[in-house]
Amino acid sequence: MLLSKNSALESKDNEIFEVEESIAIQSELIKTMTTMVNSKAYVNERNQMVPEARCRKQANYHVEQNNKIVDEELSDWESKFFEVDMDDLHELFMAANYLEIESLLNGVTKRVGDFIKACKNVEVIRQTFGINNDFAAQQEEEIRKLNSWNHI
Amino acid sequence: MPFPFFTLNLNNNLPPTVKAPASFNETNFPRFSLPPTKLKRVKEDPEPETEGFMNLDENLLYEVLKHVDARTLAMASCVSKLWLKTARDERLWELICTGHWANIGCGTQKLRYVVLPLGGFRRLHSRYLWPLSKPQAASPLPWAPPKIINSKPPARWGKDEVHLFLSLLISIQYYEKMHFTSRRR
Repeated sequence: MLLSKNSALESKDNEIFEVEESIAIQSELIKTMTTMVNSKAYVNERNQMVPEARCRKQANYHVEQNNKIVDEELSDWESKFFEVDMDDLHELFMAANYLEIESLLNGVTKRVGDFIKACKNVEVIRQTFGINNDFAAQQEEEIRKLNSWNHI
Repeated sequence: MPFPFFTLNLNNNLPPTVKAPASFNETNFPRFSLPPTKLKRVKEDPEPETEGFMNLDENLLYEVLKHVDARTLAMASCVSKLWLKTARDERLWELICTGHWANIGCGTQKLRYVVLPLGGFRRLHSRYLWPLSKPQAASPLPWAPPKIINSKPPARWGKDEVHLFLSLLISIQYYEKMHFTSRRR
């Protein structure tokens, strides 16, 4: 375990973040890394990750705030925190996934789920997420029929 | 509450027609994926690809779809092949189905043992839960459900309602196998 209370985490583009240990170990990834190695210096070296320093900043910010705020205010704060555009959301998502921070992941997936819910039909979903339709015409017809119970 | 069909007793042994598998794996239930494993990590060097904002792979998409409702989930299966594959996951539909009822009266695993061999949660929902949760069904079902439940279904279903639906599911399967060709979708 780390000796000091603050752990210094280095991201792939060589930016160093000082975070409290209790916050850092909310990330499952960091937790396993710290239990595997003993010295702080080694942990620094090993943390060659996440291309975007910003991801980590936001992830750390999220968990920090989480720890500070009481439960009642938390949901308000969280809804504000996640009201970002798709690109930022995408970054947060990748960060949460890579660092394995459950609370962040929950928040992000919920928000993306809301995005999808807000789409009126399949075309809008495709546009929002930039997905190509890779169905053959016949397949698509079949699937729509199967789901016709949905369109009441 | 008297049922027109046989009563499903989930607390004791399973009905004789349903065999509980010794182990719960893909060979037994081809449509049911394995229990959720650890979230797969994105590759070490993810350069954001130029196509599309959200480059969601299967696992991430699964996590997102956990939060949507039934209608959206069905829509999601029309988007692309990957989305189709993910949206058909039985676990997601299990979440949606069990969200309807407060107390099933049996454990999750027992419920799975019954529902999965009979077509799974997705089928349960699309065929029976969805039409019966609408007070006036626009498209009538080939058979009329017994009028045990009030015209307005309860917001949270209790044990009895769940048992009713499950017993309906079993009997409809049997009924359909008796060569009723007039029942065509």
